Amino acid sequence: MVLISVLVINSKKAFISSKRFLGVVLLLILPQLGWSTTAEQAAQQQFLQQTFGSTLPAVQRLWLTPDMQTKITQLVGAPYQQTVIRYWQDPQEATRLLFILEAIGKEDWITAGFVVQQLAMQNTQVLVYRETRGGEIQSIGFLQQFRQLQMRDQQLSRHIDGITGATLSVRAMTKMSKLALYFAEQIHASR
Amino acid sequence: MKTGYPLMTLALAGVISTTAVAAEQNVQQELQMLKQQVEALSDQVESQSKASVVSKTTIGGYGEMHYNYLNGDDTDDKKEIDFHRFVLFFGHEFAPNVRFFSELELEHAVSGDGKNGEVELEQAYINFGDSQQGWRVGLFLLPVGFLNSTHEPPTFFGVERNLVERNIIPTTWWEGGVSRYGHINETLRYEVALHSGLALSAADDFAVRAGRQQVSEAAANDLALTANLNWLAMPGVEVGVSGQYQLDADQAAGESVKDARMMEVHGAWRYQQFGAKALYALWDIEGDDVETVGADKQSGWYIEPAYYFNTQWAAFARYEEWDNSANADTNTRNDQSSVGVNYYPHEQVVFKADYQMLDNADGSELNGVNLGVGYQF
Repeated sequence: MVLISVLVINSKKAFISSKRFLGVVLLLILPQLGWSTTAEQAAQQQFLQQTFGSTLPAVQRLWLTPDMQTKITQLVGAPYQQTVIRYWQDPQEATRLLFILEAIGKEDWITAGFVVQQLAMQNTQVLVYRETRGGEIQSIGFLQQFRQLQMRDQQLSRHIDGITGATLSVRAMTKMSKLALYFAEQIHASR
Repeated sequence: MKTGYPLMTLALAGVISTTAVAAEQNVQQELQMLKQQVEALSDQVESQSKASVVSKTTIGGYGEMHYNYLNGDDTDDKKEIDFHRFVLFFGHEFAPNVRFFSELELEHAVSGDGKNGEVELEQAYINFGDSQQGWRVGLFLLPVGFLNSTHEPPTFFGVERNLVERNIIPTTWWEGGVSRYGHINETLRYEVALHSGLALSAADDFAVRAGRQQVSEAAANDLALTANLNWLAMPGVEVGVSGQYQLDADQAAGESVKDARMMEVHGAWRYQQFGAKALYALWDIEGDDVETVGADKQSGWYIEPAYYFNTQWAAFARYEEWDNSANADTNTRNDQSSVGVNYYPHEQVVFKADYQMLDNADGSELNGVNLGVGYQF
């Protein structure tokens, strides 16, 4: 902070001549307006390839019956917003399943990928984060907490430490991980 | 003739079985087609239903009602029920990277001439960018401390907000200007803002809280710069620092009040069922008149350990000290100790109860129970 203060004192005049400052601000803003929406598909593709290599297994579907939605409501407080879950199964290891799920943080959707092997969480990644605050949930340190998580008595086997100011995003991730483990359980049970 | 029947039967059986196989193949093909159609249809329905859930315009909010039953010196008892804050958020997405956010607040339920409450615009800005980096232009909350940025009732302990962040930071503190935010690396977030500043006045003994102009025809002879760094050291451990420099803290010429510097550091720790938060904030304000009353140094700190019994119950204790004229000759330091609980019947609804022991510098006390209910959505 001392450094910053010194900087400001030295450049007092520069900040006050606000026209030049505004020009710089606009120059920095304009290139960002071309943000691409295909980033979502790219992130999903990358997560699939990272998990299965270049040959991807065919997509499969899990239909959520009314009974399952009742159970989901017990687990996470509300039914899942879709009636069909798309998932991918490892051709070499049938218990290894990949889910891409979505949940609302505060105002917008968070898209996350989950790999479950033998009913334990193997990998968790935030694929698209659209909120402006709470992006810290994308850090590896936070996501490592989900490794080897399992469901025990309808609860996650370990407590997930939160992040101040990102409470709702942390909660969305926790709920989605519960769902991924529950879906994996349902897929195993149906076989 | 007799010998012809078995042959005919065989031939007929052959035809039937061939037809049956062909029919089964047809059924299989139709089933397959039907399956594909259902899947395609379900994908389409899902994508449309998702689009309709998230509207371009979003509404959110929070609120809290408090019941204070506090005993002071006889005349200073505070026994009241107050719908302290009723807040609505409105947002609109012009494009994925151009968004509007706002927060409109009604304090103390009724506003108007001679009423206790007021209507305040606490946020209204355009956000350019995404969660990784971007700009905010307009009226926004300064990134200082815990409560200033995040103050929905379910996110903090205590019926009333802590007095250090209220009196020293001073929360809720919003200014008008331009802010740049982004990530230096995965765990390190920064924000730098150039914005309108405080206008401290002798009438309020230069207390920073009273110097907020709330972007209401605010004098802007001199601007201020705020910088903030937040570090997510490891899961459950966060550290934040922020600082501010203001060219002239009373927006007027002369030596009575000159430049001002603020420095603040805060940390949050959580391990299993234990948690703790701590914060320290300090102002250093130059100026002859400010020094006369000892308000050239204003500072405060608190520590708040907590225990989380489960997802519904948590208990906390807090000790806080603050002084808005720390360099005065007389003792001007206030302190407060509190203990209490939060109960969450739903994760976005909270009931709170605490007991406070406030010791003011002038020797007066205000002790008693606070009860509250709050929500956010």
